[in-house]
Amino acid sequence: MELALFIITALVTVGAAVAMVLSHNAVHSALWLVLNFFGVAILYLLLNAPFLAMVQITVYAGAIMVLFLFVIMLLGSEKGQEEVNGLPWQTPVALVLAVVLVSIAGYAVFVSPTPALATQSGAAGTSTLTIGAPDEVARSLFTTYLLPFEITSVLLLVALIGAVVLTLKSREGDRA
Amino acid sequence: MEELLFTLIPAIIVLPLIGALINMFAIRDGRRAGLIASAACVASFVVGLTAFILLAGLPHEERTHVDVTLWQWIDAGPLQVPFGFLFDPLSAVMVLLITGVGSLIHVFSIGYMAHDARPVRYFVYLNLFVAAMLILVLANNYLLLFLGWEGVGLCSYLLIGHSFERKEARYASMKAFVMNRIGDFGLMLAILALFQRFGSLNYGVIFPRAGELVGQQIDWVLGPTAVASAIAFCMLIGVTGKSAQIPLWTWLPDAMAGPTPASALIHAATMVTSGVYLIVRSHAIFILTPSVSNTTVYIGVATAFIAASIAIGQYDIKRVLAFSTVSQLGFMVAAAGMGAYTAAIFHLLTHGVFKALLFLGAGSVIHGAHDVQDMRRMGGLRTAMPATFWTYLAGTAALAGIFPMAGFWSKDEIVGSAFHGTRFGTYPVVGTILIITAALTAFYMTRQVSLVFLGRQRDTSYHAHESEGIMTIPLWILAAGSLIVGLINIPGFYFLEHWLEPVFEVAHAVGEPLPFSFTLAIITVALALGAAFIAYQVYANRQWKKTFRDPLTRYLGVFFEGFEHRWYADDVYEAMFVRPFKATASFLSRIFDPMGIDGLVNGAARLVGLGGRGYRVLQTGYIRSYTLVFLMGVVAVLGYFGFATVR
Amino acid sequence: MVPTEYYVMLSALLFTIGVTGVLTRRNALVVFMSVELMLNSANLALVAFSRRWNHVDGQILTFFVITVAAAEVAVGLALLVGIFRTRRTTNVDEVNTMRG
Repeated sequence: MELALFIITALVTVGAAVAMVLSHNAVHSALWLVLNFFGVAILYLLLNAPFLAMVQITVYAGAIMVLFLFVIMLLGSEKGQEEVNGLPWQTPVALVLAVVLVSIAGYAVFVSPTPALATQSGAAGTSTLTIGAPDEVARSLFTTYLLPFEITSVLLLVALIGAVVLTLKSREGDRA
Repeated sequence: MEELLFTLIPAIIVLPLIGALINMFAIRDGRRAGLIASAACVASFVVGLTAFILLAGLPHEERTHVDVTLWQWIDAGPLQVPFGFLFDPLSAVMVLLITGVGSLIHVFSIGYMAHDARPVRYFVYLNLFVAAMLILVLANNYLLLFLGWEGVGLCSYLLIGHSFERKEARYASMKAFVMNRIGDFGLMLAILALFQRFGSLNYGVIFPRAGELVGQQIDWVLGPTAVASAIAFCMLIGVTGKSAQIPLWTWLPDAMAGPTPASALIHAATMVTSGVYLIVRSHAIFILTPSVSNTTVYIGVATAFIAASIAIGQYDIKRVLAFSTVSQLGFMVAAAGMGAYTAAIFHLLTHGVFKALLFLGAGSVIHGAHDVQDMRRMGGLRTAMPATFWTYLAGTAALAGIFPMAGFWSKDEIVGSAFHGTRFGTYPVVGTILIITAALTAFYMTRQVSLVFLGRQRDTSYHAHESEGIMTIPLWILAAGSLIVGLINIPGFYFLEHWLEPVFEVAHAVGEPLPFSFTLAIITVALALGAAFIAYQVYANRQWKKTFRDPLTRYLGVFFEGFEHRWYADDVYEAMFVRPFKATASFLSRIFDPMGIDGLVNGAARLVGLGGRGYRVLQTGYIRSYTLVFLMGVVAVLGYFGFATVR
Repeated sequence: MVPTEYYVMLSALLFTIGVTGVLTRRNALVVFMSVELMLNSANLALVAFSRRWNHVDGQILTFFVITVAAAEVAVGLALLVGIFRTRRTTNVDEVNTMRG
């Protein structure tokens, strides 16, 4: 049952990702990406990470993608923008590299698994249900990782200011 | 007792260093600087004397074990070099000589340097020199010895070039430095070889184990060579540099461009003897190799004879003494090579005293004669400076080996060792040449005394005057010393022989005291007196013509010209080394440098420029292509980890 | 329970798709989205390992990655807007002033 759910979700996720890369309309790409994010969120749930699943949906599928769509429509760059292709031979090389990359991953994961990947035994399997619960995450976040957490808030503040400054400056340039 | 000894030994070196520092930073007045420098040196002498007495109080076999390590100097894996001092009977007598004679020379310098342009600097150098020399003799390992060895070389350079306004002083200082560097290179090689063989540079490790070198050989271009011989030969090169032996001897006569008291200290009493000290200190290695020891003997005796012959033909009062020093060093080196180590040290000590006396006497003459150095312009100074004359006469007698002065005892012991034989056999030919050299010594010294003090003053354009008390008192002390110092190893008692015995016991190099030979003593003294008489007849009461021509030219002709021109050694070196070197240098600077080196450098730059132009093609400016290259790297790294290292 | 290997393999696949998107697409916005996809695939692997070792740290790291991604998107999109204002394009191949 769980495996079936995983396979379906995985297929949807991969399909959405491929569609995102292939579609010619940037808005479509964004929407495919949203689908992909939802798939990943479901996988998080399967992995006992309900809190992250919610964060994934609210931050990624919600905030970030909305921002993307807003910018696409603001700039009017849904379509095209692909006329100029400076590197015609890039695509085949990229595809070959992609295949090689996946093969390496497959080899590393299935053929010669590292100890870290070895099938669960011992510690895993027992009481897996509790680790991803919001209270568990919160405890870790506000004790062990308190400093990184605070620094992240500063980072967000900087990003906020940066975004404002970048757009504000160019507006002044327009006026002048 | 030992505790006290351990604190005293560093103080011996530190005191002159403190004197140098005070003079360097706090003192501007020359006379005051001289007083401080002298006080530092005298204090060092007092401390050294105290340490000497304490050492004498120790039991016989403990005297070689006074080893003070202040701190670990070099700590690099297998190379462990302590900053440590060994105060054994050998270094003890060296310390007494250096600080004792050094103190008198310091005091003398106060008077001599009174009118110098830079007296403070001079005294700083002098104190530094004493400190470096003390490090050299007190070191308990070869690297620290090398530090002192280089230190005295540097101070010698600075002192020779003290009056650097004069061109010849500048050249002489450079010449001394370069020639010493050649020798130092040999010593450095010897030190490296010792470290390679023993894994240590400490005397205490090397000498007891020196016997291991027997039978060890190395193969190189000249075929198999005994390791002990190679090491000893490299040391010998160092000795020829520092102790002014053939072939690296020509720097010492030129070094007379320095202030006369500095010559007395450095180029007579102390630094130049460090080569002899090195051989004696390393006797454990030298006794293993009769071939190199014999080479040492031949170098020494050849130097002794040639330098003595040159001394006959010199007119500069200091030059005569300089060649005399080279000659006497030849005696010591020959003795050390024969294995007559005590005789070498004995002569080193006596020579240190009476040659310092002669140099200071010469300094007093130059001072009193208003910087005249040419003996042809002197004469009859006996009446003007009686104190200098009488003390000079004492020094001359000592150097000529007239009974009962110091030189008689020590020179006789060397000659006696040559005839009587040592562990390496007898040296009758060497002994004979040494006796002839001794006669030559008597000759040129009498010639000098006659030219300077006897007869009438030939150049009356100046008024000679006696030097002040601060200069004559050291002369009197040294004159008394050159009478007394011969008694330290007087036959029948052999104080020095017994005192040094513990040093030589380590390598089983103790020789039995030499039986005193009356025949030999009578022969040498008779020859010396005879030579002196001839010289007196030739030079003393003579009417000189305006154009001064040495009367010996008539009898010796071309030989005398050879004496006069130092057997053309400098010209040969000039033609063999200096000129080819200059030619090579000019070739390098005019042709090789602009075309070879500059071409290489500019070519490299041009190559980089071309490469950059080619590389520009890769810089498309497309972010995506950069990313692609980046991904290639990622794939390569992942592939390496995925396939290569997992298994 | 689904083996961790499957999740890791899925993560690798998504990552590769993201890489391909970055390399082949010329619309800066799509390139950007592909980068987000790559970040997501990494997150997926992290969470899978978090379950594998029964430890919450992997999820915490994912949390930080999401935060940083949000900040990055904000700045990145601001930059894109800036570039669009001056060059009237979102095609990355037309922005090649760094050409040697």
